[in-house]
Amino acid sequence: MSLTGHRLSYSYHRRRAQPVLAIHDVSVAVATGSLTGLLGPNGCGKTTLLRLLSGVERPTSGTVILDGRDITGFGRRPLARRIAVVPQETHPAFDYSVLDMVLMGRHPHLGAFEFEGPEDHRVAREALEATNTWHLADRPFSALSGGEKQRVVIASALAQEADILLLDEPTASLDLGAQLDIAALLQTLHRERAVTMVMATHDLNFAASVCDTLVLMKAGRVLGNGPTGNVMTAAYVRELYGVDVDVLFDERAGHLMVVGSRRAR
Amino acid sequence: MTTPQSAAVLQAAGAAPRPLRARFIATMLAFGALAAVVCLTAPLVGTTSINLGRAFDRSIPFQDNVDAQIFFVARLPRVVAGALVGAALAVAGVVFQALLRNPLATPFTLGVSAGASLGAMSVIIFGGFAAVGPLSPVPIASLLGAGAAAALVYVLATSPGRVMSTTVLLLAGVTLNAFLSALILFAQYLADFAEVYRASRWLMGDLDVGGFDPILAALPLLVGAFVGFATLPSSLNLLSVGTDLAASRGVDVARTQRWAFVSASLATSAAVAVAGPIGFVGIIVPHLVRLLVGADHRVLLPASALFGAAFLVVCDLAARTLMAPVEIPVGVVTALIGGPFFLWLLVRHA
Repeated sequence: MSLTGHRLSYSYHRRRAQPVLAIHDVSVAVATGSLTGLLGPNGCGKTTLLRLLSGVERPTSGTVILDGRDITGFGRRPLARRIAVVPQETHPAFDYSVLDMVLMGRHPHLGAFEFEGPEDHRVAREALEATNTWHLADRPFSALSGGEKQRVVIASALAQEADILLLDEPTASLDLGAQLDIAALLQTLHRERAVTMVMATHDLNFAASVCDTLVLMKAGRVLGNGPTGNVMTAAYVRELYGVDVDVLFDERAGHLMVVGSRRAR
Repeated sequence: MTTPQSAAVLQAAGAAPRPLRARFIATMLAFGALAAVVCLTAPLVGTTSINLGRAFDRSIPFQDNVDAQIFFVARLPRVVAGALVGAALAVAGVVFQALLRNPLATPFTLGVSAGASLGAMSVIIFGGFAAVGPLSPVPIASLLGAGAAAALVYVLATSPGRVMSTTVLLLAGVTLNAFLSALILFAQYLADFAEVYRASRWLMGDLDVGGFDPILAALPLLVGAFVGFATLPSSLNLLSVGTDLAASRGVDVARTQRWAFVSASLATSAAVAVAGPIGFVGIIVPHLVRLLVGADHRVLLPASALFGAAFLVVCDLAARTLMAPVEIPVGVVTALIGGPFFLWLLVRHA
C-alpha cells in the first residue's frame, strides 16, 4: 500500500457554530500501481478527499500515510516529488507557453534561485511527448482547446516525476474525442509507467474503462470499494445517484458499460 | 511520439529548448543598460543648460557654483528618487498582479495609497507633529496611513495558517479605497484654499525631493521590500497558475502570499511617502515588460524593476521640460500615458 488515508475527517467553517462536514471518517488505501476511481454525487467529498491525499489541505482529524510515513512530515518539495495533482480546470492569470507550464512541474526539483537546466528540459520534453503535446510546446497555453490543456497539465504533472498522480475530474467539460484521448493516456501511464493514480470522475463508463479499483463515496462517507468488476453494480449506482441503470459487459470495448439510466422511483 | 510532421512544425517554430539562464542574462544586460543610460542622461537635461565640467569642479565653492547646485541638489536626487520609486511601484505591480491573480491589479488596488494620502493630507490640513530628524511630517504620516491600510486589509483577508482569499483581498481593498476617498474629500472640505492646494499637489505626485535626505530615509524600507521580492519569483509563477496547483508543486502558498503582500505593500508605502501617489507606473510597466520578456517572474520581476526606473525617470524628464518653465506634475504625465494604455489593455483582455 503506497498511499493510505486513515480515518480522515474534514470540515469547512470550523470556527462557526455549525461546521460543514465535508468528509467523515474516511479510510482509503491506494495500492501501488493501481488506477483507482473515485465515484459519487456532487458534493460527496471527492475533491476534498483528493486535496487531503495530496497534502494541499490538512485533515481536521486522521492521517494520510505515504510509504509508512505521515505526509505532514515530508516537507513540501519532497512530497511534491512523490505526489502530483491534476486539477479539474487550470486558468493561469498570465499567458504562459505550453513549455513554460510543463517546466513549472520541475519546481520541486529546483532550488529557489535555480533555472531549469538541460535535464529539466529533457524531462519536460519527454512529458510533452508522452501526452502527445510536444508539437504545442511554443503555443500559448490559453490558446489551446480544453482537451489539449488537460493533456498539457497532465504533462506538467508528469514532469514533476512523482509516482502518484491525483486527478480531479480530468474529463469534465471535454468533448468525446478528447475524453477518449485522456482515457488512452491514463491507460498508457498505468500500464507502461506503472504510475499510481487516483481519479475523481462522474463518468461511470470512463471509470469502468480505465479503473481497476473503485471507491464509492456518498455524503462524505465511503459507501463501498473494491475491484471495478465487483463494485460497478446497478445496486451501488442506484444508492449513489438515485438512478436505475443496467450494467452490462461490453464485449467489443472489453469493460463494463452502464446503460439505460433513468431516475429511480 | 513526435511525428515527422510535428518535428517540421517544431523546427519552423524554433522550439529548441531556450536556455532560460542565457535569456535572463541577456534581458538583465539590455534592461540594465537602458536604465543606466536613462539615469545618466537625465540629470544632464533640463531647462537650464549646465556645464558638467564646472559642476564637478571642486575648486569653486559649492555656494557659488550654480552648475553644481543644479546638478547635485535639483536634478540628481530627483533622478535617483524617480528611479527608486519607479522600480518599487513597477515590482509592486508585478507582485500584486500575481498575488491577486488579476492582470488589472495595481499597487494602489488594495488601498495602500489611499491610506497614505489620507495620512499625508491630515498633516497638511490639520497640522500635526514636528519633523523627526531628517524626516518631515508629511512622508511619515503617509507611511503610517499606508501601513494602517495594509494592515487592515491583511487582517481581513487572512486567517492563521490558511491561504489568503484573493476575493476578500480585492473586495476589502476596493471598499477601503472608496471609504478612504470619502474621508479625503471630507478633509478637503474642512480645509482652506491654501491647504487644499498643497494637498492636491501632493496627490498629483512630485519627484522634486530637494536633496538626498528623503531618499535615504526611505531606503531601508525599499531594501527590505526588495529582499522580500527576491524570495518570490518562482513561487509567483505557480501562484499565478493556481493556488492549489502551486501547493501541490511544493510551494508554501500561505507564506508566499504573506511575503508578497508585505513586500509589495512596503515598497508601495515607501514610494508614495517619497513622491506621492504616482499612478499607472505599477500597471503600465508590468504589462509592457511582460509583452517584451514573457510572464516568467524570474525574468519579469527584475526586468520590471529596471524598466520601471527608466520609465519614471523619463516621465519626470518630460514633466519638467515639455512645458518649461511650467512643470507638469509627474503623476499627470504617467496618467496621460497610462490611462489610454490601461483602456487598451482592458479591450485587449476582453
